[in-house]
Amino acid sequence: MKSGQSPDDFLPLSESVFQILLSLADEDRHGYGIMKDVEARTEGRIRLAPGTLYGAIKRLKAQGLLAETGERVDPDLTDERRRYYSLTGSGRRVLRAEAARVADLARQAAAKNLLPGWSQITEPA
Amino acid sequence: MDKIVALSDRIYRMVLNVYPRTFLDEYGEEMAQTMRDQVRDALAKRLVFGVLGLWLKVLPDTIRSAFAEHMRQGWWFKPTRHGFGFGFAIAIGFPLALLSRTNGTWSSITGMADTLGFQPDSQWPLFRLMALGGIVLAGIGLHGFSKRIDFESPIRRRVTIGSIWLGVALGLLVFHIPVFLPIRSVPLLGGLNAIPFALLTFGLASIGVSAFRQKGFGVLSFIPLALVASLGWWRFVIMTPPLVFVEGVLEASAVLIHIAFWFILGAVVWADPQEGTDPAAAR
Repeated sequence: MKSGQSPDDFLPLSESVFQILLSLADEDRHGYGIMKDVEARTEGRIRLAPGTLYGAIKRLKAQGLLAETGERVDPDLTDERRRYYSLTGSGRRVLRAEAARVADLARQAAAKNLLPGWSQITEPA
Repeated sequence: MDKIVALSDRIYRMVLNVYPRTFLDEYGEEMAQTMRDQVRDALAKRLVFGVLGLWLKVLPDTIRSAFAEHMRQGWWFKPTRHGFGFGFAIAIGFPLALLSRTNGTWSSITGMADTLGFQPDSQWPLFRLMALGGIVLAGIGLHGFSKRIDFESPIRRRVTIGSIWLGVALGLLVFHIPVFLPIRSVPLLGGLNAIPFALLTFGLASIGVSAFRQKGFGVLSFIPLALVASLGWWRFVIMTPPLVFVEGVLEASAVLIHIAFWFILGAVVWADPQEGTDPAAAR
């Protein structure tokens, strides 16, 4: 993120980008790890292909929202070395801003009774 | 099972050539690795059907994302100061020269002129001037473009520039100096007409291949370029009457392919060299 830019400047995020950043929110992952995590969380609704994934990674890296954290072997996969990615501080702020934006939309929809069972959504702290 | 993974890997590495080279340098190996993981996963879950399904999903994504990457790297028209001039010279010159030698075009132009009362014939100086000017312009433009291209070998550069100027020189001699006209009336030797275009086309193809290689199109770019180059040579080979119709079709195809080619070449070479052509700069 360049100086003078705020997280809101990056919003709204596309769903793929949001999911990629979200998958890095709890741990560093390699490309295939991101794919698997996104697929599992969205119950197969979003299946990233390599072109989309690495195109997004390239842009997010250039924007300073994610960073490489080196190469290592994933014990759960083959013994090939893999490049791992992590969320940067800026990436986390943008992700949080996007999550807040989506939550706000959900709150507005819930207020119009469009989301049954979502009336318990609380205001952000 | 390993054979399927290996075969898929080999095919995917070929397909990856559609991405810009800078993108490929940075992520190509990782993308191939990820694709191998996906293929292993698909094989384990649904055997060969899983792999086919994966490919059906990956191919459209590859086309879409490769196009997007080319667009992001300034692949589309971003004229630079010199590139614009040379591009303009080629874009005007080569088709002009080519069109001036195409029978159908010639007839239609003379037909139109005749309707307007000019009654020109095939020796009308304007057409000869058109062809002459076109060839010179094409030569200047191609030479200018060749200076902006990394040929990856000095020999390739020399051969390319040599073929361009030899083509220009032969074009001027064979087409436009009356003393050579009797040669053109001799069957088969009439094919001399085609040699300058074949040489210029070779120069064009050589520049185009190198330009595409710089952008990462790699081997795939040879297919249309080989077609363009071979059309020039077919023009040389096919001179007997039964094949006149074929010749006409080939010439018309050559014109269309050339126009498309200028568009693509212009887009590639006019791209800002600060974006996309220098892997170091891109990082």
